[in-house]
Amino acid sequence: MNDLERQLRHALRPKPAPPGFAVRVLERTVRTRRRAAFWIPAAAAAGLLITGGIVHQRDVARGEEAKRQLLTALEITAEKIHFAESKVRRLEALEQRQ
Amino acid sequence: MEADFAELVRANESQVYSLAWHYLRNRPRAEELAQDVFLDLYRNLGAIQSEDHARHWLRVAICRRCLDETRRRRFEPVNGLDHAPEPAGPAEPGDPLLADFLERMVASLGGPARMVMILRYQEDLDPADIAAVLDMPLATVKSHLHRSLEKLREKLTRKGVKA
Repeated sequence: MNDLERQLRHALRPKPAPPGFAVRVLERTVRTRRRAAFWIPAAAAAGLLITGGIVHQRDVARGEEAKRQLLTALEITAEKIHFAESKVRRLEALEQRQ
Repeated sequence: MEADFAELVRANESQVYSLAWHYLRNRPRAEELAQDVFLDLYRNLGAIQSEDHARHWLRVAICRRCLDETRRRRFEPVNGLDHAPEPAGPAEPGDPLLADFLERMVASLGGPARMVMILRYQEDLDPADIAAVLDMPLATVKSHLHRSLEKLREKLTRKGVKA
């Protein structure tokens, strides 16, 4: 090793970290953990709410569809009853005439 | 885990901070980058197998952060060679003026060459280890070292300093 390299080794020797450096790093890890402790349950709750909302919307849509189908079925039944009634009345009128 | 991490910070804070400081020559930014790197280590603590592994991991991480910093041109060290007090006459070992002058000259080198010099003379790594840390071909590392030393010698000679 020559003189220049020896001088470089001296000039670039490691410097001590600023006072309180380790404490500041550890404080940042605590803050990171606290943020994670808040955001993970918050994200989970938000996820549950969104899922619940989607399920609710789907249930409402299914209910609406069931109601529509029921009304259609009732309309068809009413028509059939009306048709049967008119047929019965016609038959009764024929019997009375005879 | 917390105690292990605190121990890793204390054992490596000087190495990590010094690498950033010698590269950036800016105390607040060097501390910020060093803290970021320790925070990354904390997040990846599960993958760390030993103290040596942590030391290597930290060295690679801080070098990358520093190089990224200059690549993004967000930060260039204030070298101010013109403002550096000039050492005069033959260099004494441990001469603080010469040490400051050399630090500034190293800081005036281009990003990768500067990092190669810091790893060589701060960390005492041989060229093969430097190549591994910086993910750089060995020939490039050797060439950076050779050219940087030549440049420094030339500048010192021009200033009339015998080193």
